[in-house]
Amino acid sequence: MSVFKYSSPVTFYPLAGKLAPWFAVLAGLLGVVGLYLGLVAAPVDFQQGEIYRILFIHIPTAWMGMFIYVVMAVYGLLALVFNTRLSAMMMRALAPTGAIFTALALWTGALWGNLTWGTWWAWDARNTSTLILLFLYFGYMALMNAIEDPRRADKAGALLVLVGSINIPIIYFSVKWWNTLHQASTIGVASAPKMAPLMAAAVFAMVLACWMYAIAVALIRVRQIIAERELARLQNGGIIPVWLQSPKKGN
Amino acid sequence: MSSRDLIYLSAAFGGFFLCLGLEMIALHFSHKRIAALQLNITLDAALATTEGKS
Repeated sequence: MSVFKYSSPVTFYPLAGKLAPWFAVLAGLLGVVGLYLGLVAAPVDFQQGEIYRILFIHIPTAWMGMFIYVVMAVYGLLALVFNTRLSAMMMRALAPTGAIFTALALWTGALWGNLTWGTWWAWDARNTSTLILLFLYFGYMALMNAIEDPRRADKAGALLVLVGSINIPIIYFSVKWWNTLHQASTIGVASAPKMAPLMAAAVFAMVLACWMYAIAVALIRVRQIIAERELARLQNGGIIPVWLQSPKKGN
Repeated sequence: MSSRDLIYLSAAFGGFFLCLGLEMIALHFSHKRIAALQLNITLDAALATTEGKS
């Protein structure tokens, strides 16, 4: 059996229905572990006091905001090069979650910044590029809703996401390239975490929880997109296909 | 923990769970809307079949 079989929306629909609950359960379990480690087990920071615990949400949401956009860009490339419908649908399914995570990163960053920097907002490179990322998500969703033909909307959206992906390395390296108010990365891709192991474990548990949540929500949403498009196609008459007849049962 | 810290932590964690909760509620209502659309199409198809027979 080829895995490419699942690149078709019709075959992916039941698979997504089976996988989504597992990812949701994993997200819940990891979230409980992360919150316990972050709010109960991790010690108080000697400089910032209790308020540093905001970072257990700020770091995972900021990472997920960027990561989801990278995943969307990969799907966008696949959609443009191979003209795969499912890739474009996955982009559409991921965008709202990515926007929520980015908005949460900005919100928690503002709360933390007000106490540590003394200001809610600073137009430094990291903050500004993250705000641009949020606008890119909004722009993508607005574009999707503005174009009536889904296939044309998919292509335009994929192009927008690909062009906007230039912003991701700018966000990531902004603290290295420019002298910013935002501190350098505490946890880097190629270096060991510059924080206590228990704090790092709490961050990683929350990152994994957010990751599993994003996958679960994207799978549920992509099922809705597949069903909606199929139903729209059939609205002028026809029979509802067997794979779409019982969406509540996950098959 | 000071009351100021408590307010800021509540705003951060509360905002996090509020946003994810709202997203799940939106998904739920979206599911309901699609189920209703599906029912409409099924009924329309059934009506068309009945009218065709009569």
